[in-house]
Amino acid sequence: MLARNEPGFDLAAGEESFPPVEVDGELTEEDLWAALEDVEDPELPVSLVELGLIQEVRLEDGHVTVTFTLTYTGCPAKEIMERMIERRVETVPGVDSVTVDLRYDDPWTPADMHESAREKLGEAGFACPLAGGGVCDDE
Amino acid sequence: MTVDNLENAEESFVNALEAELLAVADDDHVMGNRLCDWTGVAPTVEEDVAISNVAQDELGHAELFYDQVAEIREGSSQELAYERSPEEYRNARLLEAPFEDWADTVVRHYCYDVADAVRLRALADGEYEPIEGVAQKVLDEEAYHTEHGEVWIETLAADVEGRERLVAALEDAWADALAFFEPAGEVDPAEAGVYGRPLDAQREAFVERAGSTFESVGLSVPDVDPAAETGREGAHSDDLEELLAETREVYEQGVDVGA
Repeated sequence: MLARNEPGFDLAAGEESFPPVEVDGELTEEDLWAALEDVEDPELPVSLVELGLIQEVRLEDGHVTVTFTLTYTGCPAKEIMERMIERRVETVPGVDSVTVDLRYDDPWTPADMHESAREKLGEAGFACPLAGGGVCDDE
Repeated sequence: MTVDNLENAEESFVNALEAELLAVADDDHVMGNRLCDWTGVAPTVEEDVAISNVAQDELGHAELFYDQVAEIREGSSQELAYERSPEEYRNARLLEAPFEDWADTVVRHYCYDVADAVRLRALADGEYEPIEGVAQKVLDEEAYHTEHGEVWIETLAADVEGRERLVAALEDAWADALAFFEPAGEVDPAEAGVYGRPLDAQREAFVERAGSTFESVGLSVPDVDPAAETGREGAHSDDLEELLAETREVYEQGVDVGA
């Protein structure tokens, strides 16, 4: 029997590798934010950063804590996303360890999306809340 | 008083919190699995999609609350969902019987959604601060479910046969729905601080909200006492055992490839 998280069960099997990151000088939280832009939503052609799902990146003595949330709690890609964030941050030179913290204290709303996310989703054919011309523009 | 870290909390509080979170997760696990039976065979094509989405939400909530329990008792959501015997489950009996009738599904699921929303509000208002955001997020999602249920109650009530079936379903389910609000652990969870509102007051809020929906279409809720066996004490029907056996079937073959 091949059970989850036991030897032989490779959760990362088939995952694409991320491009290498170059850090100029001492590692900063800005470098980590930039690296995280390579982590795309598994179902949408947009990064988790642009979607506004990455809420905080903290760097303390080589340990990185990434706080993120989900658009809704039943999201089937939860674990994939946690794993992708972890893998991406681990590739950054100067990072010793990573904690990914999923939180709902500050719930995601469409207003958290970056303008670039709305544009890309619109191009991909998604009807996007708060995109130009809508009644929600004043929000 | 608020609790922001369980390491400093009293043992009675932690035990009560764990028991209630497990009851929430078990409710969602059982409800989500039961609703899955409607995928592809609901009354309309649109409803096929809608009910499947709702089922996905409930399963997602189950995972979320199993994760919370797993943090307290050092286990995993997988073990909690698939590796416990039926008498260890703390779900309400209201949710156990298979759905074989659409009106019965609408009634039991609506009663569950309203009861769950009342409970989550009380949980968010309780002393355990870290759960507030989680409960609020789930509450926001549940609002769509109750709205969905209200539309179907209205629709069925407007039809002669639909109305008869609604009445029969309500007669069958109401005592179990009232029995939803019972402690899942040894102590009263509201007195322990887990809920910001006593269980009896939660039950009253449920009756007021669900009752007014049924009354708005001319149906009155049965005048009965809560069922003696609630499910919270671990007394379950054979239906639960059969359901759990089905949910475990693939997991036990070791081909769990979740993510």
